[in-house]
Amino acid sequence: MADDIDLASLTAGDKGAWDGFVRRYAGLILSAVRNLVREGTEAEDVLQEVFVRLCKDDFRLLKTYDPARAGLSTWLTIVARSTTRDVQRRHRPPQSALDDVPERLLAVVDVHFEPLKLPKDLLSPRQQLVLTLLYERDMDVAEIAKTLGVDPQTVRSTHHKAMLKLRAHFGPERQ
Amino acid sequence: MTEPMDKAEEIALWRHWRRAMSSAAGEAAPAPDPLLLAAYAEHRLSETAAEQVEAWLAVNPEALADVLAARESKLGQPSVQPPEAALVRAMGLVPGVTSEVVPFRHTARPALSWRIAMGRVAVAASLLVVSLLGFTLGTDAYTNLLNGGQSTALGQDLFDAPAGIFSSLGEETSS
Repeated sequence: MADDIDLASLTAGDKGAWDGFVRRYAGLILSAVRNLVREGTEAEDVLQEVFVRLCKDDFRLLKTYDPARAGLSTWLTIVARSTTRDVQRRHRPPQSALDDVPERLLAVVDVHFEPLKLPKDLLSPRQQLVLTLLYERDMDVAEIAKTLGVDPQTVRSTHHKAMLKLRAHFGPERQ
Repeated sequence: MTEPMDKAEEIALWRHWRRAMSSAAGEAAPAPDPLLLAAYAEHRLSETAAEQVEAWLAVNPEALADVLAARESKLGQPSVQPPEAALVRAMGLVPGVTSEVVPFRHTARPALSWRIAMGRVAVAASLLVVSLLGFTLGTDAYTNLLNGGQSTALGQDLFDAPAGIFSSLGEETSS
């Protein structure tokens, strides 16, 4: 059982269980995608797409859910938003064909750039993420700490260590 | 002791690292499955597993919004009330009829009651008696006609060519 939903009956194709599941989680899915799509028909189409994915191929996706690893609401939110991105990608207008672009615009200057040498583990994944959130997402330390579930002091320390590594690596090159 | 960095230097170092990363980047890492992201959102992953997710999030920071949305759903954010039509459409994805095999019901033939059997036997016997009687009577009458004096005239009447208006008809047709 997950969030009062009988998963065994649900994945066995029980109509009553499915109807209960739809009634219970349709609102959550809609609220999960409302920041990504326009409300109304578009959001309802995505909602339908999410449910199609869940029950497709004999509930293949739903069967991958494991209540011991994450809550159903959390998992459904991730699935809903991921589905929304896929739908948006599918409906994106096609790029202009290569033949339509004037040839002079496609001319490439034959300049060979030497790839920068970068140690694979220069920054740890956590350090990379902290810097990404700080400099690309413009999040502050408190927000990052909340996102990562760590102490703000840990975020500051992670940031500081990452910067020291970068300076040690790039410092001589940049001068 | 290292000298402190100003914000501009930090950003410059970060950009330098980002450029180096993009030029050295090989194949894009596959997206973690939704359950892994959901577990990450709930801080249920081990440090090693979380690092892998964070490494992916560092190059796909837009997915971090999904993680945050999933975390909020766990906290019980108010969900949107979906329209009834959307619910009905989603419920229709799983058919109502169960797929169990309905065995073909053989209609057992009612046992022939002795009354019905007796009635049929009586009908058959009476038909036999009537037909035998009719055959006997017919045979006797034919024998009497052939043997008796009057029987010849009657026999001629019965079997000779018709007289009267029919005789002329017979001549015309024969000519």
